[in-house]
Amino acid sequence: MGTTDIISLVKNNLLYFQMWTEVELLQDVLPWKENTLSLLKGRPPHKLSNDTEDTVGDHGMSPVQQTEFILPINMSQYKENFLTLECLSQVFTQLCDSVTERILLAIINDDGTIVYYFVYKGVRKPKRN
Amino acid sequence: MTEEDVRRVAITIYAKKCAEAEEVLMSPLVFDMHDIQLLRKYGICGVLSGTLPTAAQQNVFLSVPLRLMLEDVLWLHQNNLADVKIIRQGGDEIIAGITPERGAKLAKLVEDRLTKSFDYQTKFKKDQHIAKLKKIGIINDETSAEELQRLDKSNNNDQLIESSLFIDIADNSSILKDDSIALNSLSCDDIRNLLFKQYERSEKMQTYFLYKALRDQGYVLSPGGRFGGKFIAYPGDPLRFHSHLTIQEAIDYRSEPIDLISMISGARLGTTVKKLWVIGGVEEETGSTHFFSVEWAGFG
Repeated sequence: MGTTDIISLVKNNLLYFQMWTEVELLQDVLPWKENTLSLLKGRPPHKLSNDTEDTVGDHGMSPVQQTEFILPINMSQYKENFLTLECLSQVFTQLCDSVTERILLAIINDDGTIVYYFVYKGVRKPKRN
Repeated sequence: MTEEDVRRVAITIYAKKCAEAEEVLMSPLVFDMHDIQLLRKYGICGVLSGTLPTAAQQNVFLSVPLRLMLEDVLWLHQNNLADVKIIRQGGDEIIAGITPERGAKLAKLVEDRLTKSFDYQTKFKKDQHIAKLKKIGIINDETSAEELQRLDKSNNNDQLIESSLFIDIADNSSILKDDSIALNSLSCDDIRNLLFKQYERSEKMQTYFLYKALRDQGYVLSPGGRFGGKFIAYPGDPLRFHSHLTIQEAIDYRSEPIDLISMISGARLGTTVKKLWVIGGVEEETGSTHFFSVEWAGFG
């Protein structure tokens, strides 16, 4: 699948299956070994981990979740992918703002299913639950 | 300086000759209890592996020797905290090499130690007995020596004490302590080269740098096979904390892609056992280590 395909697949999955809101494609792109990487940004419907603080909504409504950065990536069982440690470092430094601690890796399988994993920069404590 | 500041951990490594005359080092072992205590203070726990020769299937409550990871030994050696002894003879060869004179000397050593321990225990028990008799008023400070002796004999005390004596079993080998067995001609650098050569044969050197970086951050590392990693990392002593991380073997910072299938399975296992799946590598140019921690997002 091409870059635009996987982006729209992940976007639709987040919006209509995982019920995320405000999902949009960011303008910055990172050229990486015949590929271009770009991030999605979106707001989850509920808290994803107990460590993050809620930001209180505008009108004292129910708390609003923090936005997350999502990196869609293709996984083929037979083809080697290009996601090296250097690539992840570049995504953090060039595509995210400097305070970003984590990105959400959206891994697209051969059959179109998507799994989501948090990738944190550096060594971190496991989340409380 | 206290004694512990100068004490160096004695590590024994057996070397095995293979058919192609290549030498392979076996797991590093520590035999001395005090060394094991000291290692624990350094944040190296190792794995106890000793069992009884008559009950080899007993594998729960194990004793010395303590088995270390090669990374532990490299780290201790680099920090000048350990003496590494490499033994190239097999156990049979060592036993066969003991001359009758030396055998007799060793046997006498063991016997003397046992007699000394018995004497000490007997004296301790007799003193305690006299103190007890004094306390309940059977004897007092004026009781004559003859009277004491009579009491001692009448109660069959010697026999009772003898049957209750504790036999002290040696927990380290006096044969191995003998310097003539180890290769002392090896200098510190020789041992260092030997260790690194052995390490590079089976592991990536970069994995050692990950180990070192995590140790420098205060983590205690153990072998991580049971959680699908190279190491597991505890934020302190393993008796006080659960482990937080499973560390994967180092991958090349620039050229080696992350295996997504093993990442998915590893991180999902890790999340259910409350551990982050950590992958890292070393940037060759700067020598800096980069880590990324992965966990399941909780959906999808």
